[in-house]
Amino acid sequence: MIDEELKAILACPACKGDLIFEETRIICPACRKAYPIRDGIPVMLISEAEPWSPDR
Amino acid sequence: MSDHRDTWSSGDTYEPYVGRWSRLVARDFLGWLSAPDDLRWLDVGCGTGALTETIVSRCSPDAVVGVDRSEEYLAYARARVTDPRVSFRAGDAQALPVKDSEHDAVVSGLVLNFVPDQARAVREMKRALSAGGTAAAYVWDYAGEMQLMRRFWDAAVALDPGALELDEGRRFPLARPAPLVELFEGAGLQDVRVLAIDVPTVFKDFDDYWSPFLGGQAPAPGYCMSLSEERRAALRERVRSTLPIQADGSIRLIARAWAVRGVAE
Repeated sequence: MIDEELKAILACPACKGDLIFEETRIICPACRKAYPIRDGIPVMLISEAEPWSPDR
Repeated sequence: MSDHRDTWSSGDTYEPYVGRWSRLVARDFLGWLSAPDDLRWLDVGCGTGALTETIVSRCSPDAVVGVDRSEEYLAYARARVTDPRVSFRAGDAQALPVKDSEHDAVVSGLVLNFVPDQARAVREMKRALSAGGTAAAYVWDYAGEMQLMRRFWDAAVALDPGALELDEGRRFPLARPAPLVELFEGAGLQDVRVLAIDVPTVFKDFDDYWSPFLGGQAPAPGYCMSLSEERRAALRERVRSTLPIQADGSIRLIARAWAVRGVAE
């Protein structure tokens, strides 16, 4: 869905850190936020991110 | 800065209002940049994809990333621009979701004036640039020669002094050469230059001019559709009386955009 080259340049809009790519969301482990992917488009808006925890 | 009437969602109503003219500006803007082939481009506030599409058709890019706040616009852009080198994501110009220094050209068309913190947005553009890369943007000359909007607001304010605070010529002081240069230099960009880009906006008749204002999209149509039918009709006739309507019914105006560019060291 998101190719490797694009993954390499995509960053968390809040901390500009590296991201973890899942099928339906993109996670910033540093900010503990999960950004949704809707209709194939990563929604990299801080206001749209869900809290994320590494525990599960 | 922003207003509840600044609605941005439907690409189908944006296109006849501004999209069809913005494509002409995009072409001249890219001609001015005369960028080499194979660059990595970032289009900040890509909207319906007019500038992204023009980059693809004219600049032989390595890749183009389009970022916009509106998922509705992005869906429209993605349906239109299917080149595999292009990808879109939702994001804020003030907090771009890209790593530092990964793009050779960072551009923004007809957006900067709408961004609440413009200095921050240009700093973000610069952050995304590789050394020697170019940041560039253009905005309509709302207060001057963006005539299709200027005629509208001048007529609106003549009938309704309350429209003055919505007049984009007044709301967007950024959209002049000196403030644009100051903005780019303030972000640390070098060799900052400005260009006026004038494109012809030719309407086949008054309806062709007026009907996009009934789409409710963007500030002027938003204001137009907030009026009662009676007041809207009065505005329509006022605008009509000020337009240079040719014998064949056509209306020939120009639209000016101010373009600005700078280089990251």
